[in-house]
Amino acid sequence: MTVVTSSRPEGVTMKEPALVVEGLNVGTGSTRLVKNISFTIRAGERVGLIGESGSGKSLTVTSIMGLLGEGLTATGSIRMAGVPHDLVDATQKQFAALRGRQVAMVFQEPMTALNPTMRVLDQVAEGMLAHGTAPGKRQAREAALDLLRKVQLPDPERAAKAYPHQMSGGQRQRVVLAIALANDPMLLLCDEPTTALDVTVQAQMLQLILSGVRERGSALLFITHDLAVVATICERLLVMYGGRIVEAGPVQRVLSAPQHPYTRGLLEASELDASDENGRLPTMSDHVRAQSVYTQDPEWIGDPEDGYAKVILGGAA
Amino acid sequence: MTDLVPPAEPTAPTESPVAQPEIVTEATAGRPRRPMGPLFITGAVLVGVVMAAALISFVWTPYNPIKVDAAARLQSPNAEHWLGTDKFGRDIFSQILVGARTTLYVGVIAVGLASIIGTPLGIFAGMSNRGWLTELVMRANDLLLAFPALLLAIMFGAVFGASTLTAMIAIGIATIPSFARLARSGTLQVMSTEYVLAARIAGRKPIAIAWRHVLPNVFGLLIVQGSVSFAIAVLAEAALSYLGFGTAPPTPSWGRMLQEAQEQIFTLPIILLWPALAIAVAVLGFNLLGDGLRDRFDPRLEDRR
Amino acid sequence: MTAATEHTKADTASDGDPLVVVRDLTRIFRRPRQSFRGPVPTVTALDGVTFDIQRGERFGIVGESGSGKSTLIRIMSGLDQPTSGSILFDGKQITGRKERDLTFLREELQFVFQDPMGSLNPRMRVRDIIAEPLVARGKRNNRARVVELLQAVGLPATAADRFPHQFSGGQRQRISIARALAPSPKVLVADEPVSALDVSVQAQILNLLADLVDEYNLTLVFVSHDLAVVRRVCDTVAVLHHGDLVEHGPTEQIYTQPSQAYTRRLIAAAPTIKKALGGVDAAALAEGMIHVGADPAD
Repeated sequence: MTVVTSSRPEGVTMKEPALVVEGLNVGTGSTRLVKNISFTIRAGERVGLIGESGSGKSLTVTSIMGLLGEGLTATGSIRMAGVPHDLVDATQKQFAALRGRQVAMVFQEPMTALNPTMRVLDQVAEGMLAHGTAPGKRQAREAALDLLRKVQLPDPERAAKAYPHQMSGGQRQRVVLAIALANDPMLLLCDEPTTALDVTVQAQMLQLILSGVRERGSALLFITHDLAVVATICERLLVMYGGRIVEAGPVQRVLSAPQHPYTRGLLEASELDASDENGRLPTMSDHVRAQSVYTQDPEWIGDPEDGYAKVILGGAA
Repeated sequence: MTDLVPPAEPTAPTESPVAQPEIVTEATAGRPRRPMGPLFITGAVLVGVVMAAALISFVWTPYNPIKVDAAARLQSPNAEHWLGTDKFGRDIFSQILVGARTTLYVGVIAVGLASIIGTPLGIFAGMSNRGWLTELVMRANDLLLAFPALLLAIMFGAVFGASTLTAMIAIGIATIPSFARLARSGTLQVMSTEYVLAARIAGRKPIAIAWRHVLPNVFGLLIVQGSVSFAIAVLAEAALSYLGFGTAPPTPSWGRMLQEAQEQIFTLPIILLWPALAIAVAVLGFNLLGDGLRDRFDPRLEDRR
Repeated sequence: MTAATEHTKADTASDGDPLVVVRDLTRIFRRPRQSFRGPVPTVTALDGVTFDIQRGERFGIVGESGSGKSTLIRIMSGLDQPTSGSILFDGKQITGRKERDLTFLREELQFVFQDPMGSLNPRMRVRDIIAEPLVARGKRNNRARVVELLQAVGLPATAADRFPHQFSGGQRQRISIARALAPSPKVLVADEPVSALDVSVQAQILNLLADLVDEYNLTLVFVSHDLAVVRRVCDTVAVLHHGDLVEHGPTEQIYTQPSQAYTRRLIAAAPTIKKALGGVDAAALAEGMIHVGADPAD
């Protein structure tokens, strides 16, 4: 495997990025599931990481959070602004100090992210007390109630005293977002946060995430399989397939002029009003999926502005 | 350029969707058996030891396990008596071997009785949509559950005479609720799955659904419960024999050996150790075996690792 | 209604009559008591829903969680009973009947579930899963039919001997469709059949469903939370909201000129790539401010 650092321009640090991932590999012993990916997220930037199941997008996020499962190991480098050590080698103790403070996360299934035996208000306040960002219990509770108002929970005073199971899915996800935003994280990770929600609730949730990170100047890494969602909320897009980043660039560019056949296929498959010559939905056929372009490991292209991707340039788009 | 554009799907879906990159490829080469875990092997070995002891005792024991020998009372382990002798001069090793029989006997009958009655009751209660019938079964179950197993066994012993069989039946009856409850909760869970809805829409009769869908999917749970109940039955038999309500003398039983050796706890503690160790081995063995079996019965876990 | 009158009805049901007649369907669920006093708390999942499904129609049912769409198709499939109201299937009453008296419905109406894993028994081989509706009718020797069904959904014959977990989500959904086709039904009810699948696989399954509906002259009842998917697949749509049928009519008309505020909100809130590239951000989606039909044309 060639070292890619050499082919990459210098200057990834010029705008004090929130997150720099370089040459990240995640795998079990012999198999690599995430293959040598690199990307940068500038402070306050909103980046979408898109991919289907098995693309490695969730593994990428779990390695940033230090939540890789048993038997999975990461190599390479993950640096976060304001954190002196490399997250790839960080201990669980170091991660514990980091999580919920510099980096916070919103998961797909809010019920699993909440403690079913704790009142909502206490759960929001807990993070602030744990990281010492609120001087005392009373202040933490006040701040927590304020957050619950900010995420537009109906009747926040009453909701504060409720337990998670007494809330709807959308309300729970708002609570999870309130917890994630409690300590003004520098980076917010969202892993399919709206996939389980209704369309109307999803729209509100996306708006809350957007305003939440904008107010705080937090960077956002938004993981999803839904191109429309990512287009709505992000400025820049990373497309993952088969453990690699196959395309990267500004949302407008990637979605209007995709360079990689996989991105093109994904885009066509997402267009429900499109039809092929037989009047059928365009699909990404399996034989194209299996084409060698996906299994090659081309040179890195790109720049720190757009991110680096291993794009197959078969011709100008 | 053109070769990079994903062509539209041909009218026939695809030549071979199995070649999709997302498929679990190693699974296509057949169904490799999952390697057995260390816990499962340990459990199997321990249970194997107990079973071997029971089998050997049919053909060979160093001494007659019930022969009293006043000249050889309370010996420490030695070349003649490998594990020593008790206060009547009986060979402890021989008694342990024969006691294994009693133990397995008790477990098989008690767990067999409990599972054969409890499982169908639980599945029935879980599948029935007639509320009052379910209530009846489950409240009767609760009543039994509230009744201490040992007390039931002692009552049985008092009425029918203390014997291994009455002890086993009493323990078996007392264990029915744990199977029925588990089977019911497992059944409720399975009945709420979409594959059971699919079977109903396919027109399957309740009996077929119970047999094809519910039982195989609660079997793992029941196996685990079976091994745990087995261990509990072994303990209960030991306790009953210890109290004098179980296996009647002179048939060797680990529980009674423990009780008898108790008097020597300060003079010859080693003879207390053997039956205790034997009980521990059997209980641990069945618990570990249960865990191991549960993993192996789940095909979803099979191709992993 | 007596059995005799049902029979005459069945005999007289002609091709011109609607296949499914839903009249004033109401389903009220009891909820666990929160206190000892007062009446048992209830939830009205369906509130007086009335509509017809014509033969050969592709009928979409759209609604969010809690809209009653799942309850509706469960009652339609004879898996649940309404509190009041009725459903006639091909002239025959299916509500108020015991499940064992619904054999005719099992022949004619089949179901494809949302969760491609949960709807396949993990302990059964694919051939047994697909053959289940056949075995339920006493047809035990069915290997050839299973292979035929597998081919119809684009799976190789070798799939028959495998277990569900050895397939990808899209392939599992094909297995589920094959099972539904086994008894040669007239109606296929698909409950969110693509919402658990990857985007690129969704289109394949939607195409497959469209092909099968054409090939076997099926009536399709397609349930989804996503009006855009329904628009693609169905010619008629019913919009459900909190148990009420708020709007019902030709899909294209409802999608482009919704008459109800709720439908407008549903369409406005759904993000699309076109909207996003046209500058519609999350806040605009949430406020539902987008004028319906203002999708920029290409």
